[in-house]
Amino acid sequence: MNAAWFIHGKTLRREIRFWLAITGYDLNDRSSSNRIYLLYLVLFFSVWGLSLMALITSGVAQFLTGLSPLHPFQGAVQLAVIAILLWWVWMLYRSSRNSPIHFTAEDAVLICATPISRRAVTFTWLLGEWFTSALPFWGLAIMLGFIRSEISILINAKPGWSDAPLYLRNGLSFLLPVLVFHVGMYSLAWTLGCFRLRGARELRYPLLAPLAVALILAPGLLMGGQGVAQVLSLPLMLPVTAGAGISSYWVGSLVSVVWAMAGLGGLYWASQGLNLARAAQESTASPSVGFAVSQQAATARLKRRLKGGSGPSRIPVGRGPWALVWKQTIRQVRAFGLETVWDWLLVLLLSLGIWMAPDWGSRGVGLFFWALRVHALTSQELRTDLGLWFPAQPLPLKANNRLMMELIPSAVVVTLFGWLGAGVASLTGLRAMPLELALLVPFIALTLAFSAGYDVLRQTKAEHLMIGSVPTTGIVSTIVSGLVISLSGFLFSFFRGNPFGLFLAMVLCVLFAYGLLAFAVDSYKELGQ
Amino acid sequence: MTVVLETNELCRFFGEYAALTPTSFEIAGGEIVALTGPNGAGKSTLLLCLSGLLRPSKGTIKVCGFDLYEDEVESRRRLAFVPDVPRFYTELTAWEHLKFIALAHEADQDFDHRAEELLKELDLWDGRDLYPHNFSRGMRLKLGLAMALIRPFDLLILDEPASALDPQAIDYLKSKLLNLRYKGAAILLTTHHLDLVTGLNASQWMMEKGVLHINQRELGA
Repeated sequence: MNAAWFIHGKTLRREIRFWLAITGYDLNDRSSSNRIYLLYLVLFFSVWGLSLMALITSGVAQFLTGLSPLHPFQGAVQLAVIAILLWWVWMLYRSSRNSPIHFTAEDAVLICATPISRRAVTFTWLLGEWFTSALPFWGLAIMLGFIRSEISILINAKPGWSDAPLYLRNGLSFLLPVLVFHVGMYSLAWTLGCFRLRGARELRYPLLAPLAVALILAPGLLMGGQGVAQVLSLPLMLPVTAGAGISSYWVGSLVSVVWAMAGLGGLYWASQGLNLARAAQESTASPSVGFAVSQQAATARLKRRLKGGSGPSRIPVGRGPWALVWKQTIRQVRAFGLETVWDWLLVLLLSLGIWMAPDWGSRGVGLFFWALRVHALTSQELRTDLGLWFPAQPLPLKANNRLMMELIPSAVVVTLFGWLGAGVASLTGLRAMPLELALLVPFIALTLAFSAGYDVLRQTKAEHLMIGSVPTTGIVSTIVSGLVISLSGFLFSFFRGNPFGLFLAMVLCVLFAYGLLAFAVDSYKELGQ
Repeated sequence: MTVVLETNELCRFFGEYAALTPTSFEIAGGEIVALTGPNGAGKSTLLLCLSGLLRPSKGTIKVCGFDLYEDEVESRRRLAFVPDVPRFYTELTAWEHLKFIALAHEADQDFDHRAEELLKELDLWDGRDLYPHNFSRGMRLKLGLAMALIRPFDLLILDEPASALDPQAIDYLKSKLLNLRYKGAAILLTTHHLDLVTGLNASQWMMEKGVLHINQRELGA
């Protein structure tokens, strides 16, 4: 086994183990029942994924048919190709500025400072990164295949289960060339990055590559027509249009293979001289523009933005447990940036969507995503404090005071955004839910915050906290929140027109919040066992 | 002398591995104990258990008679711990870290004066408005020390305090430890550099393979 795979393989296995653990599958359990469970998981998620995609494509197909009754599918393919081009130009741009291979600080010491084969490192890292990058493409390809089936069926009849083989065939025929095509595009972007990082010389001209690609390929895609521009854009069009039946399937597949061979061959050549020290410096010094989106990268971005220091904060101080709120306020003010705006804007937009949604089905989808965002935002401070085991943990504070001070402030902001959503929906006349439900928002926000806190704490181990590793919210908070929201909604609907229903829903939330806080306190006290 | 730290059958296992075998001991106020031993002997595990950062597998820990888990708040009020690699909030400056600790301990009386004095003594005054991620390892350790010293305590636990300090800072730390000892605080520290405790009348305890060997050999006056 080569050293690169020995190190990176462990990281990849840990990630796989994490995702499997979420589903309840234990990699170490070799029993037959566990294997049957794995089979069940694969079947369940395959059926669920395909059904979800079929549901989405159904809406898209109807929309496209309404938009362009004569050639509904061509528009979708055109849009997909443009999206792929934009993605590739963006990949090339990033590769021309920063190392495409993202190394952690540990990798920089364990891998990059050794005379290990550069080619082995490149291809080992490519394997892990490529897969996560490829997933959306696979989804897109299958969905395009489904749209094609849907549109062809919609002409004569309504789609049913008997059409499933057609859906699968079209999905797969789209997927195969796109899969190979993506390998080529992805590895070509890496080739550019590795080429730039060969030896000691700082090469500037790779920065021109994304511009050149955009100038060569875009005119043919955006303006259409015939001529040189159209011919130049063909290599990008053919692998996608092949699956659509617009061009020859074999020609499209062949072009995909040529892309993959060019990309992998180029990377094989460029990676030989890759300077791992430079790659490590770029990826650890400025991971913000690197490829990995991680907490580490976010912290590095924040450090860069904060610069050296700051004068003493003028925010009014609080003593005892209130010191946590003081600290949290300073942190939020200093860390305020586009990411924060986006995080909270999403909560506001989702709240608005929930208030405006015409039925419980669409409202439920909105509530689901809203709850996920609320979990992430309300548990943020608790996770930071857990990650900084010293100095936060040894403070002389009761566990329940500590948890309330960490979880409640953001639940208050969630409530305000929930009310703002209700206000905007009312003012625009698009509000579809009764306004008295706004009274329930703080109770639900609080319950969600405590469920998120409990979910984080129940997964936390002190040994991991020593190295700053804190779990995110998991499935438990999602289930509990779903339960609370559903039951509250049910009570309100059941006693419609009677304030008693609203009161019962509030009591239910308070009971859940109280129970979840108690569980969270217990988990906090048990940390480290 | 009043017993400040008391452990009873304290042990910590990681799976089958005994990082700390059952051990009972007491440290009185005004006593300095230097814990030595080879790498991996279990010194840091013991300190993490004593500081409440790692829960023992069995046994009890009492600080000034308060159980670390039963009387969480009171015991932590009396205990200060400085890890070998302190970590800090990204968004808070050195000054604000001190203030946060003082506020949380409700020990913010005359804070500005005390913090200024402490930071000047530790040669961190010029960096008071800097974020700690811009500090060197030694400066971070000094800030960790300052965060422990800004609030009252009866027991001070230090993990490898001399590992990254410059000679001036070590001299300051020695004088500070002596001062705290006279004031009646109990001090437990791990170190590979016995120079740090020479002259402090410290007891040397030895750890090896998770077993604590307590003797009262003093390291010279």
